[in-house]
Amino acid sequence: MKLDENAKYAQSHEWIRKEKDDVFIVGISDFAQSSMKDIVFVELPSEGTTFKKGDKACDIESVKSVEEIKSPVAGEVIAVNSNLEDSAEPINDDPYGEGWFFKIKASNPAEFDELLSPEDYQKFVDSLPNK
Amino acid sequence: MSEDMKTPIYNWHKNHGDMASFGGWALPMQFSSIKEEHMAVRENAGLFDVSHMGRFRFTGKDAFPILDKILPRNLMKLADGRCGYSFLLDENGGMIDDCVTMRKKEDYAIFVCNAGPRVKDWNWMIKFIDSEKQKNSKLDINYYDFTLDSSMFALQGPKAIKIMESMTDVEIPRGWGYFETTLAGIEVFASRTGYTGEDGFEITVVATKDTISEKSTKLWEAILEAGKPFGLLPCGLGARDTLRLGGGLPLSGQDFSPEYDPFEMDLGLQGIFIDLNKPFFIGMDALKEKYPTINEENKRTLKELTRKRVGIELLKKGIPRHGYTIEKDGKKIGEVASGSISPLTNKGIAMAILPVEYTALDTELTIIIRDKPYQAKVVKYPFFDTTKYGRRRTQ
Repeated sequence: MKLDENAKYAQSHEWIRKEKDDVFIVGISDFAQSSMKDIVFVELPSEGTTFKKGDKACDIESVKSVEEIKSPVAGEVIAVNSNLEDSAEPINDDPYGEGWFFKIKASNPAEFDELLSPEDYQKFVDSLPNK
Repeated sequence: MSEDMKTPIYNWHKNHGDMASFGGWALPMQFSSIKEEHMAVRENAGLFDVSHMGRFRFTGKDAFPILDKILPRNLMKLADGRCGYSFLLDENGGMIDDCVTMRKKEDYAIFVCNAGPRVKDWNWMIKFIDSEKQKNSKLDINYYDFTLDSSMFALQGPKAIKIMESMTDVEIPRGWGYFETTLAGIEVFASRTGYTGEDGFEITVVATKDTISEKSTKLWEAILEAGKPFGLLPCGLGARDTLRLGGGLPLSGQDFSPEYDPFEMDLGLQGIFIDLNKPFFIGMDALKEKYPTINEENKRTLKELTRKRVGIELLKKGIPRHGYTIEKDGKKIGEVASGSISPLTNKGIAMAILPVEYTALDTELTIIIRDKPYQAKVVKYPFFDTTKYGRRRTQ
């Protein structure tokens, strides 16, 4: 499993990275993309949508299943990666780069600090049954 | 919940694939990826472990005459070395299961059915056979469910024939033929059948409980090796499902159940799966009562038909899935039975049983995906260009 050392992680397998000030960028981890495989479709949130921490932010579909992506922090969506609407392949190919989902202006940036470090996320994944 | 049953090559799967549960069996969902495996079968070849499917043997001189009373197809017309698709119907004509009967010889039938309803199928057939035996104690029919003493692999795709030819010198029959041979030193029987819409084979090894795992794994690996130059990939349930859906083939328990008859499933209207001129088959009276105008000539245009299976294609990107609501003019008219994205065309495709007034080609429909309406239309199946893909391809 690849990790982005600069990101933090949620137990629901989203990563979040600080871009600047209170703006954060969100995607799904390498573990999540490789578990789902063949991601073919993603429904992104609209810009301007506000989320509480843990709110469903988008739906992501692979051939075999639909998964919910949750917002790891509270805030307002200020940008979405609309390239993914044409082709979802970057999520599988480059989950921490071209496969990002949305940018969020956090209303409580302290929530970021509460998330899992790369080391703790690795431990969490290792502890999962049938991973 | 009892533990899932394991096929003879379970350990190979566990080492190479992502496991899932299906019809009471532990099976691989995918090895490489559903898309890759799907495309391998449409373009080259794929190998599936289908050992979970039910396999029954009926022998004795009365085996075929009795099976002919159970199944709507005319099995007395099936020649030695041929196989026939048909159904198990209940007394109401409802579909208990679909199945293939192989005629090894006149007193030897091999019957293949789905994994989920296997025990139900068996009990249904044996109950009928016992009732026939009570009427005539001299009937010569023996039966055995050899599912657990055997394994079955499906070699599917346009290159399947090349791979088979590279492994055996026996003459390979045309579609729906039965043959016996030795592959990699292991005795097998095979049929030129499948569940992907492509040419291919279903290959069965029969052994004892002690040897089945070793023999099956050896054969599985030998076929993969022989198929390497042809682009053969091992395939899991995920690709099996997208392939059969793309081929317009219904899935037992998902697309059909005893609630539907074969005409509603669009399976009785064509071909020879149902013979209404036979003296008897289970469900025949109910079908004739339900469809008073039915006869061999007009069974393509049954005017009493109220609902029918259709293919549906989404007009924009999205994935229709089992259970999603189908609407016409804001009114619910049905639900998606099977749905997915076609790895071949990248379009959302589905099958559903709809009231006949909405089943004409190009009828516009709406599928509700997570509370949002998606435009769709009725299309024919298979969901691919049959000149380029599938067993009747010409290019």
